[in-house]
Amino acid sequence: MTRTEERQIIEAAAAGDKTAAGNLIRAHQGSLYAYMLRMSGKPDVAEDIVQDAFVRVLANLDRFNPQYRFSTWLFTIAKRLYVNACQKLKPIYDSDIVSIQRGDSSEPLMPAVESEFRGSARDAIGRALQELSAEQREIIILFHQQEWPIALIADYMSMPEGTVKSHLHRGRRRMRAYFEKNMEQGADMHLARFVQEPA
Amino acid sequence: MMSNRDMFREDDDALFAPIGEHPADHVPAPPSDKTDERVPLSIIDKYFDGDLTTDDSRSFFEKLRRRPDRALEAVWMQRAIDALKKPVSSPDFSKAILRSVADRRAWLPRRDRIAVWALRYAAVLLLVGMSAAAYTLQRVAPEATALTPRVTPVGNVVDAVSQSTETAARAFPNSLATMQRSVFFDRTQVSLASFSQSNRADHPAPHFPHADAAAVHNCISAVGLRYSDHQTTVCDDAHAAERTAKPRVHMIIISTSKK
Repeated sequence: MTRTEERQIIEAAAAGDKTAAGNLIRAHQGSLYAYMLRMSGKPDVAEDIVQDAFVRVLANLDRFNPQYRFSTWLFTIAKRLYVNACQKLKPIYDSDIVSIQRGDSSEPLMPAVESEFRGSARDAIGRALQELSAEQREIIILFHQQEWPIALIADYMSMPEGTVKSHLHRGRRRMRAYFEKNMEQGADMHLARFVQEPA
Repeated sequence: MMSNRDMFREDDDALFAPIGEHPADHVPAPPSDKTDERVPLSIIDKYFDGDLTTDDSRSFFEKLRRRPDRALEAVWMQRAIDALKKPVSSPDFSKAILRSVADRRAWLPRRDRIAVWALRYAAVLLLVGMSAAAYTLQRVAPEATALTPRVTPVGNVVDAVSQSTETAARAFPNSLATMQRSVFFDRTQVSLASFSQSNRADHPAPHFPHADAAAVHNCISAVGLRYSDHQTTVCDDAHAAERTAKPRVHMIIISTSKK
């Protein structure tokens, strides 16, 4: 979908066109769900946040500034909802988890909830992502999964591009270390293929 | 037999030999081995950032073939990224979302949507049209758009009355005589300091007999007020003059005898 088409759909949805709103949801729900699933590590949390984000966005479409990308706006709303959800959950876990984690974690975002989510991450990549700090995880997801350019990520996260790259490199190395440590099988086969097939 | 002392002396001599003459000065350089070329992590990062050109990328892979340890790191990184890029199956939320949104806002059928747009455009056009009409009216007939008594310089006072300048000038003495006979503004109520037969502020104020406000209103159609600071305004009736009048105001009658 081009930006012009997207703008037309947004205008129609803002005017009350239900079909256009449905198309808008279907165009973005996959990427938003993948983003939230990788961020939270929990499918049910991701589902709730995706739905809530879309409801709020569609109810306030007249506030959308067409100078920006719709996906950036949508992701921003979803991320804020996610942070709010984490903050609401935090006190429940504070008493028994924070005390264990305190002092050994440099992660700035809600260690208790992160830990809770971490335990439920279902696949290897999910677990590897939960090993990262919140910033590293988000930047890696946006760069490699959502394929956002560095400049856009920097704008989205209000960070200099150099800082974004630094987080990206560190996060990638930590993910690599995790994979290396936990998934030793099949490395030789991948190695042979990798060095033979430059991208 | 060589004593220990001689032995050390010999060593000392060799130790202090000029640079380059001691056997230790000729340490062979490590063998150059092009296969041991370094693959810095920064190049691996650049590769995964997508910042390498095609040539750089080719060179990068050449180096990796010679450095299996680095190649393995890159492979694990690639595996992690490939895993991250695997598509995630997402449920279809559209129906649930649209249902929730419907509680907050109305979805309109196409015909109603067009009507809403048409009404919006009509409202905008109406607003623009009214603004344009008001502007034009103000330019063509400014008096029609004046909602309050108009402030006019003293030079335009005569223009403000219904009579022509010549008629007004001719009627002026008679008007003053009429006023002198019938009009008096109470100083405390109307706050007019005095009447003046001319527009000279230093003219002594005459004494007038009593008259009520209705009598004033009946015989005055335009009144000029002169303030002590020489700013003059024109009001179209005596009641307005009463409301506008302030202490130390001299009053100039421009036109009288309403029909």
